[in-house]
Amino acid sequence: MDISFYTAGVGAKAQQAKMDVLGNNMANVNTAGYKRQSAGFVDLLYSNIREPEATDTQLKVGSGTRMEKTDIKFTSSGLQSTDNPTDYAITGEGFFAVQDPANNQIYYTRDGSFQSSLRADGEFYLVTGGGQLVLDKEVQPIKLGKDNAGTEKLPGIFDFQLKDGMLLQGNNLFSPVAKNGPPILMEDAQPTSGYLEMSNAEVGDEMVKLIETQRAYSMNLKMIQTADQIEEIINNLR
Amino acid sequence: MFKGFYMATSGMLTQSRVLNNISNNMSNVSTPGYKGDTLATATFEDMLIHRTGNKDKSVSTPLNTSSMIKTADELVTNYSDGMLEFTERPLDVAVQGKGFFQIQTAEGDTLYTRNGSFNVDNEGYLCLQHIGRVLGTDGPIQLGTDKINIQEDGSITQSDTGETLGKLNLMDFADYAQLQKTGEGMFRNTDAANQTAAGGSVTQGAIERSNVVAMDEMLSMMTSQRAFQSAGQIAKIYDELMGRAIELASLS
Repeated sequence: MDISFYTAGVGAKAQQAKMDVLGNNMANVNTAGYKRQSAGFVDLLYSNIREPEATDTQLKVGSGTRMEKTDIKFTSSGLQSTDNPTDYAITGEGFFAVQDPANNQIYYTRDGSFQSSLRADGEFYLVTGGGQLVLDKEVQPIKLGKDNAGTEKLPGIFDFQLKDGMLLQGNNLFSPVAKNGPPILMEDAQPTSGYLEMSNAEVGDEMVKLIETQRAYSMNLKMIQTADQIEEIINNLR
Repeated sequence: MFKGFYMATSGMLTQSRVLNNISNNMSNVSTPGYKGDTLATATFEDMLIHRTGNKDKSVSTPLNTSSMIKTADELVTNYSDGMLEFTERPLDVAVQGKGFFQIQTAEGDTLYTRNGSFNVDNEGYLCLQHIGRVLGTDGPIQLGTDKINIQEDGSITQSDTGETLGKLNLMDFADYAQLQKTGEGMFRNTDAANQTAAGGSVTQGAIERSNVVAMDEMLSMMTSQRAFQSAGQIAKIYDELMGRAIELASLS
């Protein structure tokens, strides 16, 4: 059976999935605190051409590739001055902790573009763009003074011993899984006010990867075309 | 009878297998640690062609050899190094030079790979996702953190405390032909005596790219396709000739 058709098909599909990841990075080159992702592939099973399965032979054929995982790259990037006192940036490692008022779930983010918001209790709170309450070192929501400035409490910075496998929740939020361990309060770390951390996705880098992925994609499509022509030759034998 | 059909179709079948293999290489141009394969073909039992005299049938002169069938013989894996891609991810490790990472599967097997895009599993061990734990010099390596530094010799230390967490154990093989590809970037060693110490070093924050050369695969694809076409054409012409031969018989 001519499997080259399908092998190249899954190859093209995997490249397309990689393109989605790169597209997301490209779209977020200006998102403060964004951490870029990368796609990881593995090759698929090999089967024997002649011998029955599960015997060791040197005559095998592979069946393509699969996108195995996407990893988040937590490298930090440069700061951008905004002159806005409710913007914060973390230099070095760590996250801001934010709490969703709807379900009290705590999320973590590197995006420090906060603002003040009047809540039902008549007080102004420091919140994220998505409406989550920013937490201080004591894991309490930060209340702002009447003039929206001069906060007494700074947002707390929390880190994890292991950042591998953290879940992306959208809106630039991460949530830890069991293996990440408990959040560790970084006592000495001070967020820098008036600055935002830029996205660590770089247009140049992503562009080069995009071109490469596109080429790999079209190469796999050429293979599909070739496999199709082979079928055509077979069909025209008579 | 109709020997030509079998020769032409064996050519077509073999080229289609070659294409299957090229297709797999193309599919894996972006797979870290992937090693490209080449399908070696061979002819099946060369036969001598003899000439026997018209009247005197006692002497036959050997003329040449003729092969009956072309067939796929062996999958040859190219173990040359792929280029390094710097990823800045602390858990990405690439081997430079000779050597393979050792991975212990859930079933207790030890498999080998050049794919060093590791993760940390739920118990805090360094692992290759969906395959198993990475083996160090003292068994699986428990990290519990990804704030690590990996030296060129494979020793892993925690970056803030400097505590030693383990050491990657690279393994090399005297004869790569004894390795079997098992999928998901893994190789199985079929001969225990084949193992040797690895001379390679490791680089943190990088992965080894697939060693497939797109240009080569494209060229092989084109030649293979044309070879398939030629074999098909010959089968067609042979069919025509045989048709004529049968027509001749009906005329008489």
